[in-house]
Amino acid sequence: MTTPVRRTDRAQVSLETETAVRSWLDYESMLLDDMRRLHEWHDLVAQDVVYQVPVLVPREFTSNLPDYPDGSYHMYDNWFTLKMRIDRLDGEHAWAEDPPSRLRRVVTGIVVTPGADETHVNVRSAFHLHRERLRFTPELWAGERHDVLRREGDDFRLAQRTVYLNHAVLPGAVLSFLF
Amino acid sequence: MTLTSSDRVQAVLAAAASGAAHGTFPVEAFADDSVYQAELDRVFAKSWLFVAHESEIAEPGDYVLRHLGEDEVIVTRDEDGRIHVLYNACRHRGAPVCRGAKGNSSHFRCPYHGWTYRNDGTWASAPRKTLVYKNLDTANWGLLAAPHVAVKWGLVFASPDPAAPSFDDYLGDMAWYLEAVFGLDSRGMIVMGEPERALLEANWKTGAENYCGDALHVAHTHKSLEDLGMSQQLLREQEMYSMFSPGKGHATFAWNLERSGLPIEAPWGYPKQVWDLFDQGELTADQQRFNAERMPLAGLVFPNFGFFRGFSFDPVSQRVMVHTQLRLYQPRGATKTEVLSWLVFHVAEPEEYRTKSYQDGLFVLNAPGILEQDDFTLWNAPSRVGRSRFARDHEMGLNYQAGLPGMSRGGPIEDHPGPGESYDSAFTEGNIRAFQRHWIDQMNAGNVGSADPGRPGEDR
Repeated sequence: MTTPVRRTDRAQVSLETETAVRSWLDYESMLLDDMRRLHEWHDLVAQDVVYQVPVLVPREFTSNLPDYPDGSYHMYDNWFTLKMRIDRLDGEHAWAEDPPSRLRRVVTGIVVTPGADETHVNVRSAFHLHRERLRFTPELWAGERHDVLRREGDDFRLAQRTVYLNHAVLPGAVLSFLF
Repeated sequence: MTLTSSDRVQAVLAAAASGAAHGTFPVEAFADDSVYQAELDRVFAKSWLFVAHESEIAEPGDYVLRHLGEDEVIVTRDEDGRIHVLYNACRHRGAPVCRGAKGNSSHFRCPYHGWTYRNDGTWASAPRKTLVYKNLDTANWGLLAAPHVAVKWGLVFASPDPAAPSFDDYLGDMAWYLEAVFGLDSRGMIVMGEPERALLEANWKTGAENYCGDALHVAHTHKSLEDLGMSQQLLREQEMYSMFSPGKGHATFAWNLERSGLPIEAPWGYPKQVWDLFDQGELTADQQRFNAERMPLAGLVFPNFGFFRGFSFDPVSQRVMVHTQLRLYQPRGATKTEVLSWLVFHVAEPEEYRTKSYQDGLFVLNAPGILEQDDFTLWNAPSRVGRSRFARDHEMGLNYQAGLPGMSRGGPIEDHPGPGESYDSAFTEGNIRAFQRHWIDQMNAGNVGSADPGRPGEDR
């Protein structure tokens, strides 16, 4: 994972920025929870977005090897592949989401720190995501997101998202939604 | 009358045996707990099971945690480079001696009382052993181990059965087909990234039969490929498949891409400059011809190890990227399966191509893949239906009749260079029927000598 965040990093971001980020994340969560509004979510994604879900390998406490080793992913997506995933749902043959999953995520533990330059902020958040699907056992997914948001006018665009799941074994084998 | 668990197993096996003649298979076999317990004893404890790819444990001391049946094992490479499959339970009180899922260690020390084992499984020491264990027969207190381990084409298999046939005997004619795929280049293959593990609500056999040769599902389950412009003619492509049933429960099938309309430069869709790097050094002329003309797509080594040599097609760049998936349907209960997925590549492929193909492969494969998420959604059906009142009352059998004599268009391939039975289109479920026949044989063989069918556990 990336460098640990310190309290001093957090103090460098204005309250206005932090409030705007929190509000953006709340709105984004609402769209992501609604499988029929994912096109609106995709409008919030930067064209050069990198969306990744790395694989967790549980190691011994003192191991010097990473829990999320480089080059191991469940998902390795870009703007175009995200769009294809979302477009696919409109085609009447995306059986994984028909009927659509009922998703409800709680995003909290939001930590906003300065980004690489003035137009970017780094945002970490923790989530619990509950999912109901007809004829399937409900699933509870949990993890941490490391995002980079880019200022664009008075709004943000998602420039990067890395999703560190808590799961070495995914709680369901159908990952047809987005974190 | 209450049926004992052993009676239930016998009833399901009888229904399977009588159904085999006319292409049905009892849906309860995908859901019944006693059938599942019998499978652990009679199928998984008696088979050669895939545990790892050799490249995951490339260096001395490397290990990964895996399973044989439901039992957790450590797959290690010892200091001399030999591979061992060790039961992850201390011989003293049974605590796990290996805790991380992957790493490198010369020894495994139990956290409870400190018994320590070398990475070849032998007993090494215990705290204050000269005071506590003056006469311990250490040769008898090493970790329990799978008695047989075999490595072929980089694939590591182990059998828990002391009386298992050799791995070559176990594979039989399937070896010819596996070699055609995994022996394409003599420098071998490597795993990219770490395997994905995901919990599937389905019986393991549903995944297994799909990889045996369910070529008919593609046009409907994966019709969203047409919606996305990644394919235009899934139904018409069914004539491009060919099915092979080499016996012993194994199966494989192929798909000739040349007539797919995709921009194909070489077999499987490899770019010509990548294809030309494969030396095919250990393949016979017949295997080379088979690869070029048929293009093996997927297959299953009985009972639960699959492979899939697929590709992703980018409709914008018109680029075809070939990837090889290894798949394990790890049993977790009658209606639960842990799905393990690896992507492997030939060492000879340029690293840039491998990396890009791995990333592109993740768009179509595994839990988030747009192909497999639809498969995994449909596969809970047999295990769900198999528990139903309707299934019991109607002795519901699922239909596997495609390809039975007189049923479907097609037949054996006349000039097929390989061993076993063949079929010249997708219009057959013969590979799955062969898998089921072998499953029935294994389940019945495991029941031989059962003096009292009412006492489960004594029927091995």
